[in-house]
Amino acid sequence: MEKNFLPYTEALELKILGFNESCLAKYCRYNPKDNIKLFPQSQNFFKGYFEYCYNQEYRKVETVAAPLFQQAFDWFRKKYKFDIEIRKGGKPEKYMVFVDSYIYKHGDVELFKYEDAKLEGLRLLIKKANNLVIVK
Amino acid sequence: MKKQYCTYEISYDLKELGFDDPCMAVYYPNSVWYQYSKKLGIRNSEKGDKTFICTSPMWQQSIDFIREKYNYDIQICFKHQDGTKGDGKKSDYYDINIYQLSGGEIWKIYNFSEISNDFKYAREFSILKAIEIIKIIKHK
Repeated sequence: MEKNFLPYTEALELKILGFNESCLAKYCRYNPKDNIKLFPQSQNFFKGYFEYCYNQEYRKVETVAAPLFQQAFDWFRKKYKFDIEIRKGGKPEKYMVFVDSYIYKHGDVELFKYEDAKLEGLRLLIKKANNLVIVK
Repeated sequence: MKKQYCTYEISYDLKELGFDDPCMAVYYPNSVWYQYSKKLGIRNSEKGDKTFICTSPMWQQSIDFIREKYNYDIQICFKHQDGTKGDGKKSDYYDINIYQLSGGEIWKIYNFSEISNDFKYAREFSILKAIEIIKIIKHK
């Protein structure tokens, strides 16, 4: 189940980019000596509803809402109009990453395992969004 | 948050096809959807709660399951109607390719052109089509 959520570093990048949608889990640590871990959202039994995780509610910089990969891709599609495709590559079990019809790494096509292609695509989207922010 | 999860129809079909990955939500009778808290995994085979009909996978989980268990790779491809590529504009419509893989290589392609300009619709459509293809092949 954990593999469906963004890793901590990329979730933090999205927080910095302004991602603030409801998430099913968050990254945090309850003890300063612990490592940062993924925790699922909880239900408030007194109020009777789920307390989803939102970045804007976290005062600590290191506490981060953990989006699903599908949520992150939907967010980039909605906010930046960036589309991503993971396409089957020529070699067995290998995939290519396309962003807005551009193949990742022109002239030097990189092939990845499916899960790695998803993460690579996400990093590319973050990089593209960061470049836009700098240009603005 | 329910929009992150597959519909009842897809969830039920996936269960019939052997989906047993951990999920965060389930469907009870009459398509009543319920999301669990503090848990990162409920399986269809789990015996603790017999009253639910099936688990409710997320969209990406269903696509992964279809690829990993049945070797059908779903690809939702964007296209621009004016023929240009890479202009950074919103896609005009989505095509769907379902690749049947054999030994990790492409064996057969099912293509569905110009399905929708709505990604979410195209995603649901592609999963339904993949399930339909798998069912047909299983019954042959």
